[in-house]
This record gives sequence, C-alpha cells and structure tokens, in this order.
Amino acid sequence: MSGALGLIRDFFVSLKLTVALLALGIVLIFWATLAQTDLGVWGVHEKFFHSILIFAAIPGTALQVPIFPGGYLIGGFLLVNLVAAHLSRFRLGWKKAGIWLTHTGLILLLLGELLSGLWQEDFDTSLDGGQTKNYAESERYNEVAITDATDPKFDDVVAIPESVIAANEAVQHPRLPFRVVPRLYYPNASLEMRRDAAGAPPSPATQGMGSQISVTPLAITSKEEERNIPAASLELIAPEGSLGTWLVSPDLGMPQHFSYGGRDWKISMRFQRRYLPFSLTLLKFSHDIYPGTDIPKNFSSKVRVNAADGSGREVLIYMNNPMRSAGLTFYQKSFANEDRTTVLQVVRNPSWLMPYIACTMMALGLVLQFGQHLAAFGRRRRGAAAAPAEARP
Amino acid sequence: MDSFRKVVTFGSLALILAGCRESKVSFYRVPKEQDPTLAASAPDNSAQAGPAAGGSMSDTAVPTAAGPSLTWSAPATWTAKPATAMRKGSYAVPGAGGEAGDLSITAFPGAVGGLIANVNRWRGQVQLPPLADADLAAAVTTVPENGLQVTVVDFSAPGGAKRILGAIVPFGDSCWFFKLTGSSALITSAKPGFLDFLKTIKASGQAAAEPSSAAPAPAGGAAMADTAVPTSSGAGLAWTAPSGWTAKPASAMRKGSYALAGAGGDAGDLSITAFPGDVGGLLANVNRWRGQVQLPPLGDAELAGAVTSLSQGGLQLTLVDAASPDGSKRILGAIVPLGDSTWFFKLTGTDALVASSKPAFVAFLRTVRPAGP
Repeated sequence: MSGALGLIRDFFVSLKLTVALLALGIVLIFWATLAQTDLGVWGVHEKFFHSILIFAAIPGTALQVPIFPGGYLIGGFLLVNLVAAHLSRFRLGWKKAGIWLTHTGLILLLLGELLSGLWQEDFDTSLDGGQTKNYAESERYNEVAITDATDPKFDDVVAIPESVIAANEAVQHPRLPFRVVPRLYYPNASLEMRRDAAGAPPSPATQGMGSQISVTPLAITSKEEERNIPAASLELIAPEGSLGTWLVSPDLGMPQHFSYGGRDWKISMRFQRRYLPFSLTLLKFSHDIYPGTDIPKNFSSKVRVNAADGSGREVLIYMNNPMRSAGLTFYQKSFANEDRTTVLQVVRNPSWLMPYIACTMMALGLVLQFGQHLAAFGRRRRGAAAAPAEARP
Repeated sequence: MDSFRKVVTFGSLALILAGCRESKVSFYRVPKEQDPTLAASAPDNSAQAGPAAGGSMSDTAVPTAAGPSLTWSAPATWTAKPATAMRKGSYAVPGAGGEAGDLSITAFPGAVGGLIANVNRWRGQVQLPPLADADLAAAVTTVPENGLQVTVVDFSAPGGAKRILGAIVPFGDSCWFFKLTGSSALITSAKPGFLDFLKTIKASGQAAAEPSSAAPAPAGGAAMADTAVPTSSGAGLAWTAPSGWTAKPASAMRKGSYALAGAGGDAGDLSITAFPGDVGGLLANVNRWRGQVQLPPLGDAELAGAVTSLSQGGLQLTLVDAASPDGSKRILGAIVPLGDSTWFFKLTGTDALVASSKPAFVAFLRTVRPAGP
C-alpha cells in the first residue's frame, strides 16, 4: 500500500473528511432551505439534493459553472468514507458488535435515501364517488400519448415522455406508422381561444383544434401549489408525407382524433400515467369534523380494489393508514369538489423498508454498545466495592 | 484492499446512476377508454359541445355568455345531467340498445366567429370538409321559433359512427348552441323529439333570470344558478305550517320558505319549489338529493326500497330521507307531481335537527292540498 493508492485510501478513511462532509452537508441543507422560497420543494430536491454538483451562471453570461457539491456527491462521499473507514479501522468481534450494527444501519440509511431518489415515483389518482380508475397520474411529469383506438375493446398506447419532446427528439416507434417530430415546445404555457387573443401569431397547428387556439409561453413555476402546463406542436410524418401538425397540451383536456392508414388514432398530451394492476372504485369519501366545529377530524376513502380476475375487496384508506398493494402505497392526500372527490397519492418506492430496517439496526447497535459500557462500568464498581477495607483511603 | 476497491467502485457507480432517470418511449395496451367528454364527471368537452377548446379549458379563460337566458322544456324521456361551468344545460338522450346521446346547451358572447365558422367547426368534428359560404344556405335550415332564429344542422361522419344534430340560436349579444351528439341511428330516432324540443326554446322572463343563490334548483348543481330555470306556474298547492316554524320571504325560485329551529340553536331550512315537467323523473330527483348528502346514486331496482309513498288529498307524495354518512347533513323531502309540474318540499339540516323535526314535517305534509280556486 504505497504511492497514489495509499494516498487515496488515506483520503477516504480520514475522519477529517467525515467532518468536512458533514459541514458541507449542513451548509447544503441551510442553503436549500432558503432556496425553497424561490424554487419550491421539487426544484430544491433536484438542484440541491438529487444532483452531483450545484451549478450557477456566471453573472452577465449564460455560462453555468459548478459552485458547490450536490447531495449525491456529499452523500456518496460520506458513504464511501464510512465504509472505507470501517473496513480499515474496525475488526469483527463481539466487543465491537454495537458499533458495527450502528454503522451498518447508517450505511443502509444513506443507501436507502439514494435508492429512494433513484426509484421512488409519486402519482396521484383522483376519484369521484362511484368512479372507477385503473391508473394514477404524475404530479409533475407529462407525456404525449398516441393511441390506436381502432379496436372496440382496447387501446394501444405509445407514450412519449415530455423530456423526449423537450429534447426535440423525433420519435419513430415500431408501433406507429408515422414519425412524431416536435416542432415547438413550451415547458409552461397558457392556452387561449384565438378569437379572444387579438394579434396572436399564426398557429403552427394545421390539424385538430390547435388552429383555433393561441399559445402563450409562461415562466416555469416552481411553486408547490402550481404545476407547469406544457404545450407542444407535433408534426406527424408518414412515408408518403406530412399528416399535419397538432397542438397538444394537458390543458386541452381531451384527445384529438384523426384517421390514418384505415385506423382511428388519438393524440393528446396528458399528465404522465401509471397504470395499476387493478382498478379502484371510490365507494365513499368521508370528511369528518369535530361536532359543532369546522375542525377536520378525519379524512377517509372507502375504496373497492377490483382485481383483473373479477374478484375484489374493500379497503378503508385514511390518514396515516395507507393501503399497500402490488408494490404501491396509496395515501389519503386531499379531496375536492365539495367532498365528492378524493385524491389519493400513489407512491412506488421499492426501498421503503430500508429506513425502518436501518433505524432498528442503529437503535439495537446503540443499545448494545452502551449496554456493554454500562455492564463494564457496573463490573468495575462491584470490583471496587469488594476490595478489602484497608485498601480504601 | 480488495474490499476498499469494491467500495470505491460501488460508490462511483451509485453516483453515476444517480445522475440519470429513465425516460423512454413506452408502449402498452389498456382496456378501451372513453374520452373525458363521455365521462359523467368530466367538465364540458367543448371542442365537441361548443365553440371553446377542451374540457379543462373550462377552468380557464373561456367566458360563457351572461345576461338574459333562454329557457326550454325537455322531453320526459331525456335525463337531465348536472350542468357545468360551461354548459347551460345537459341531457342524456336515450336511444335503442341502451345507447345514450349527449345533448349540450352552451352559450358564448358574440357571434363566435359567425354562422359559417360554427357550422364548419361542427362539420370538422364529424370529419366532414368545411363548407364554402355559397354552400351554407343549402346545408342548414333556419326556422323562426318564439321570436328566435333557430338554425338547424345535421351532419353525419362518413360511415355513420358519429352524427351531430344541432341548433345555433343568436340571442341578445350572445350565441346559444344546442348540440346533440351520438351515433347516426340514435340521432335518427331522436330527431323528431329534438325538433319538438327546439320549439320550446324561448327567451326567459326577468324573474327567472335572478335565481336566489340559496334556492335548491332541482335541475343540476351550482352552475345552474347561471341558467334560467323556469319555475312552474299554473295550479298550485296549499299547506299549513306549524306555528313553531318561521316563514321566510319566498323568492323567485321558492314557492315557500321556512326556518326550523333545532335544539342546539341550529336552524333547518325548508324550501318549497315547483318546476315544469317531471324534472328528470323520480329516480333522478331522489339521486340528486342523495348526491347532496354524499350518498351514492340508487339504481332503478333500489328506488322503491329507499322511498316512502304517501297518498294525501288526491296527491301522491314520495318521501325521501337521506343523511350524509357523518351525520352533518340530512335531507328530508317530499316530491309531489301536480298536473304537468313537480313540487319539491325539502327540509335540510343536521341529522339531529331533521330527526327531531321529522314528526312535525310528516304532519305538515298531511296538510298539503291542491290550492283552491
């Protein structure tokens, strides 16, 4: 162990590195907390925590330069530092079992956060009383759905994430007899009827309802209670030529129909969907208040989970009592429409158990570690008490 | 040292992975989905129903026409659907085989682009090419009805899968659209009824244009407050209220109005209203009240078990008692057909109040009788 490799090892096992990383972490959290005012909680997550480096523009230019390590970099180094220090300093043995458990728990906690950041997906599903749905919708992401609706029993859907449209990438999917070419994209926009928007520039849309609508780009919002509503113009190009350009936006609220190649097609931009392996029917939403007041006591949704085989079960979802099914967790999130509509948050996080396991390990480790110290202390006291009287001062 | 290398490798891999979130085009097959327009809960789909754009645009900046309204009488076989912010009226028009057409009534300020633009928008919705100005007169029929110019159009998609039978009625400073959408077969069977329905369209009187916001208009939700709901005129009912009830001034919508005091100082509200026709039928009326206390709608088969019928002085009273699951709201009501109108006696209050007032309310119903000449 000499030379460069030794230097690297010394760097990664150093306790000074731990302290420096913890200090950087404190600064990062403080800075991110302040930045939440402007960026909102999701913006802060992406810029400060789910990033390797934090970039900022040089004043007066558009040039972005890294100015601070991001959450993944600090967390990653902390993880490597912890594991490396552990392997190089501690030896396995009963006496160190508490420290081992505590540190392994800490490593699991860091890994759990990393995996949550990578894997966790959040969706919402809103259900009116009696309504049945088999999908949830993303709180933030959108997609362009091109649907072959020819068959009377099912729809064949090609879903193109908004990020692909934003990157201006043409899509040639084996399931589509035409290419989808983005011509215009606004990450946030407002739509207006063209007749109400005097002097609006000509519409790029040549098909569907887009020609009647004018699109005004808006600044991207990061407020928690707001959502960016993108708009895009998509040209569909078949082997024999262009089929036309459609304006799509979640704000249009419904797909636009067209026919091509003897098949019926629908095109729409909508909140990104995640289809569930079952459907949910809202049987009843309850908004209980303390008698004689308007103070909410409980929100609950009684839903029926309808499996594909026709069987079903009823589940009551209420605050702090989510439903877990098929790797998804359904939380009571909100309600609307004068208590007639419930909004459930649907979370997929394969690593959701890791923090629980990590905390249990850390608690056990600390109990073991301090228990050993206590036992040793007790033994010393008993030893001192049993010593002959003349030995005492 | 091997383990150290592994740690470094794993750490770097994790950092690299952290930078990318999968975003790729996907394909899947799902059971057939209806467009939001056909879903009962969706707001108006105005690309089909009217001149504005999409469903969720109804939340944004599309102004619907305010000001004087039109009124109409729908055939008894049509089922009134709740009006929305965009729709002045909304009906399900039944066809053969359980199919239902969708009739939307919308109004927008101005001429909405003029007749040719409106006609061509509807043609576009059934995949027909736009008409030239010169061809317009041959494609539409304009008939005078009750002092209004009603332009009727009937367009069918090639293949007959979808057909629009509509009427465009300029009125005051706005333009009204009556649009029935369905399959070609459905429209064929519903067309005579629709044309008769158009004959009932007329300008509303001032009284109907200022409904009380507290009035429980039977036809639809809050958005109906914008719509002129014709109240019933003609033969009426009379009743005797207990002395403990406080009479409130009747409004344009209410034939009678009382406040009922409860034990804990809370007050119940009794409204007496009347509307022409059967207002969608008994089931629709019962289900509307159930909806107001967050109960699911009943089916035809369940209706008989959920209501009580009373015979009283030649009248048939249907008694409905529906309480919200949490007891915060309860409706005790009676629906009384009288001649060609329907009367509604509706007591609203907390569960406790309605429970304590029920004997008095039932006794009160016993006093309801056709008004003497």
